[in-house]
Amino acid sequence: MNTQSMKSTVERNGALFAFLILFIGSALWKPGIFLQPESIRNILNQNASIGILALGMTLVIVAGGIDLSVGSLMALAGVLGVQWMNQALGTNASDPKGIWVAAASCIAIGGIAGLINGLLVTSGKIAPFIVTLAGLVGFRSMAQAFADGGEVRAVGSTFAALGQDGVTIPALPFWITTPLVIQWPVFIFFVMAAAVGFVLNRTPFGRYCIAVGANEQAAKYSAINTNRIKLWTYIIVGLCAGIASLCVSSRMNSVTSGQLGNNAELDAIAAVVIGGARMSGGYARITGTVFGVLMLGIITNILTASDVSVYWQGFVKGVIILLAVLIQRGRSD
Amino acid sequence: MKLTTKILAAAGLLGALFGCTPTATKDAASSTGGTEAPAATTGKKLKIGVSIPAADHGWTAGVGYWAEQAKALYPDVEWKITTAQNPDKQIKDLETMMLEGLDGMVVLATESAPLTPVAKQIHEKGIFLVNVDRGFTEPVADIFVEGDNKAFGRKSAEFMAEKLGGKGKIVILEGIPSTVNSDRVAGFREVMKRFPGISILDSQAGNWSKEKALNVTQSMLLKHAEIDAIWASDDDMALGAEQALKEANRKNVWMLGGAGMKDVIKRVMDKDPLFPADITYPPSMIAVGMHLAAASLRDGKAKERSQFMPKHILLDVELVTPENAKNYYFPDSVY
Amino acid sequence: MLDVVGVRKEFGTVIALRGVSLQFRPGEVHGLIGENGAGKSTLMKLLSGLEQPTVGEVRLDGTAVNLKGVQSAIDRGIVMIHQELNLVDDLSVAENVFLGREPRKGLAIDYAKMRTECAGLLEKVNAKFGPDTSVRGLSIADKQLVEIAKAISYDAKYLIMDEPTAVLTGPEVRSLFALIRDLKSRNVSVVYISHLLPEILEISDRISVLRDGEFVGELDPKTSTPQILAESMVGRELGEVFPPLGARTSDEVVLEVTNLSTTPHHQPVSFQLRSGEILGMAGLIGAGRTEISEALAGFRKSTGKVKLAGEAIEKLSPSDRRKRGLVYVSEDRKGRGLHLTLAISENASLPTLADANRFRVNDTQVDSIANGWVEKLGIKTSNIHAPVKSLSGGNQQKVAIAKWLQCDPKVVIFDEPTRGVDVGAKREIYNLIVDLAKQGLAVILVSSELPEVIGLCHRVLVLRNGTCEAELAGDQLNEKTIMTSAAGLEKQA
Repeated sequence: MNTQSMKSTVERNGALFAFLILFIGSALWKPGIFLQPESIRNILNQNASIGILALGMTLVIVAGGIDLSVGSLMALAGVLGVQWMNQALGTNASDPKGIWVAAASCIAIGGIAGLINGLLVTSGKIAPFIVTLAGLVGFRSMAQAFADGGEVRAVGSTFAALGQDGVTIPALPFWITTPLVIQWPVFIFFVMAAAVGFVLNRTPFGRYCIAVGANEQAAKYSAINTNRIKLWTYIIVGLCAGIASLCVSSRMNSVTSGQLGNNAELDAIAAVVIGGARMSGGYARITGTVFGVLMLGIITNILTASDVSVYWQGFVKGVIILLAVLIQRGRSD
Repeated sequence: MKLTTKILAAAGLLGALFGCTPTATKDAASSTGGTEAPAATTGKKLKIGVSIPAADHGWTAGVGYWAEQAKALYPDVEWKITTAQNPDKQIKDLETMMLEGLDGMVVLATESAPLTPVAKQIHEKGIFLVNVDRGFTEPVADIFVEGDNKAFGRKSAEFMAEKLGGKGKIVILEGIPSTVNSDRVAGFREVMKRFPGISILDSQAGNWSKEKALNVTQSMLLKHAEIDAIWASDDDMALGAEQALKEANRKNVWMLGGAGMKDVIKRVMDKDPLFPADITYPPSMIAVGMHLAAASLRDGKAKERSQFMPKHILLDVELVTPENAKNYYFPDSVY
Repeated sequence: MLDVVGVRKEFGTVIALRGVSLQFRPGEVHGLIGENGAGKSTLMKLLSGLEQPTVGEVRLDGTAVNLKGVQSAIDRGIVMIHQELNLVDDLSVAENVFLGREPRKGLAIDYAKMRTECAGLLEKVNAKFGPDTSVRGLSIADKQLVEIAKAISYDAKYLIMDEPTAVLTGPEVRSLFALIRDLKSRNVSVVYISHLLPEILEISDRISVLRDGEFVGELDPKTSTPQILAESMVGRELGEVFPPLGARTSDEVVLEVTNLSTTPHHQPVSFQLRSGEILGMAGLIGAGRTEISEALAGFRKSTGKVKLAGEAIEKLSPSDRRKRGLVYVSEDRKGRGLHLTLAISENASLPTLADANRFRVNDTQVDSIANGWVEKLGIKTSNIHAPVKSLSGGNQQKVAIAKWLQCDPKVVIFDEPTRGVDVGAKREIYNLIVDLAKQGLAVILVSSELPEVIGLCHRVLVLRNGTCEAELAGDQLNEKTIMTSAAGLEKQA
């Protein structure tokens, strides 16, 4: 009984353990660089959008699905969002309403694309991997077609306020030498994490997601409308892709159609898995996903800060991801 | 019920295939109609295929733009342009195009070595082949137009060394690991060896991406308290690095990008201290290749012209400074 | 001769076997009974090499053997056929029989040889299908024959069968028994585990009883009755197996089914169900009992009319039918009835989770619901947050029933509610069903166990080929009439 409850405590907090090991390891390895406040700020600012994506991905994966299309969807939403914003602004480039046009467009496109993915999976009865693989290729192509393959710039710089501004932490003696800006997307990420965490753990919808992922047949025979649950997970991850796209394109004040969100779907899936979710569905934790995102960010940053050769960094990253998953497994089994 | 869905799906598939690529239908129609030999006889349109990398960043988008420009200039030629994300796809594209009875082909390779065998086949089939930018490893092209990547690195290094007065600390942003990138970096480091006063603190991959360059530069700025200049090696990456400098509030660092993006050229022209110069690597070289193909094949006299046409054209890369910047500024280009 | 000598098995602090000694002799069918948790499965795992004893040993013809892994058991001629058959649906019968040890010609599989050998094996088990048949299309009984053929191909001297008849119909059981007798005559030793006491009495030469990890005695089937067997299993005297039915007090029709059909090829079914009534549905496997039940609950497309308390429900979703009071307890407990990896509390509250508040789960309420049912149904567990898979079959079934009773139903359809459930829990489920009916609920009981249908139901519908072959009640309710109708013999006679 006692070992059981201890086991479940560790299981529940596996991602935290892995995160602490990685954090302390990095701090010991490169204290001069890694522990600088700017470094922490960078990790947060750079990974907020992947984090937002990973939150939606957690719901899809916990319900037994997968979405490979979200990275490309970010590009599509970004291209159209910025183009429509530019049109709406016309010559009045500093009008703050532009941000709202872009936000509404990005989120709407994300939601609609998620709806289409979801309908193809549920009503169309096509495997999620196939549907979203088509989206991965298709949305990217659409983004490039609308942007003529190139980059779409936001007119003026008011749009950049969303992704580049944020809360300024004033300088403190001894540690924070210059004021730091934690950008708005970081806050969006954490607020959304709390919200998605609530949805997953405290609402019937969240429990249904778990039930569908754990055993879809049993969920169906529990009189749950499994198709509706799955449909909503794809809509939500689409909305997340729209919001993530908004954050990145605002931070860059532009959208590169060929590059925005490239491999973002893989990073998001990796974060969810590092966070301890079961790939086949039925088990996931939002806190795990949040730590997974931060771990991915730390790995990328510490590798750049290290002297590992450029060509070997991917290999080291791969090994650390496997270790992070193994640490949790070893502790929970 | 099921049958109707299937028919609808099939109709949708056909629509997607033919609706989005009107050129493909045209090609299909003309290739079934014209059964005679594909030789460029009078009255028969010249058919030239163009294969270029997909627009994954600004420069390749520029290539696409210039290909369309050149296409518009030769309405008498039937152009077929395909794009590929990787060598695999490009090989497939070329193999397909080879079957369509083309008179000539213009190829900007995604990677040199993997595409050489298929280029050889094209050559052996007697199709006029123009190779642009990334050279095949065997001399199978009728004309080879290339930008000089080693010179790109060399000229960048020479400018930076001169501007630093032979003394200072720099970091490098590299592109996607590839021959283009390694040639540039090798050329750069070769020159820098002559300047022991300049130390290269770090060299990280920014993958020719603005966002990746921003993230990587942020880390490098933390790692190195003193940096005099950044060789961004590409204008997309330079813009990303610029934002990293801004967010970190680091002043007195200047940059050298590359490839001649119109916005960066404009800032050189406007004497922006951050961008004292730029190096061209014009995506318009695809248009040069297309022009050479169309001009050589005209009237079916390619053989005769081959006696005097140059086999290898090396397009020099140019240092753009505030003095000459207006010559390189094309406000209408996408790049 | 296979001897188990003083075997003890501990899993952490749990003791599954406390020093059991048994002997299995060639040419004999050795029945093994015991409630769930008595240690039968652990014993079988030791014999088939899946587990090793903590203390004690297994002796084969007098020499101690170390059975590590299924392969080492198979090499010594000990083969187990599990209750859940281990066949690959997408392969042919021959490919399944020789899976992992295909005869080869060079690098390639020698299909010709595989087919001939398999055909020989299939003949031995009296199979009516060929080696090239796809396993997917076979009935469960035929799949079992494939497993037995496979076991014979290993040259099995000791064949362990775990609940082999649980999913078989009467005639199928008969032919299985014929096959077992045939194996016996060829000097094979068969270890036969079952909850179905009359069957075990019929086929066994002797019966060993396990209780709480101990061997409590050996019974002679010639002198025993099901009652004696059941009492020695639970260790106390049991009263009548089936509780007395309540009289049908009401004439109020709760469920009215008119011309219901699940496929266009079948004759439609019509019947009425009154409150307080238990209506049985008997028939062979594939007669359409589950199909009709699922159609009533909305899980399967159908034509026809269904009225619940006077209100047409045939167009409603399963969820809406549930809300109006019609629920279905699936026959497939592990696949459809429960989420094995989720907690008892989560399972018990799943259908009703959003009833009180669509946007917020009240965990205190979820727990109190689970605690309520644990108490009411006597679910044996120390922790309602433990996964359902940690429970025994009978307790799992109680959770599967609890989650539907929580919906406060008017009509409950029980599909094979006692499959794979031990005697004690079976009786509790019988009592529960009768109690529900006495409280005025209407119950449909689908079962392949005829005594169950006869003992518990007021009225029985016998299905054949998706349609209603006969409606029986009162004196007509006996095994013979049900079986003749189920097999369609009545019309021929």
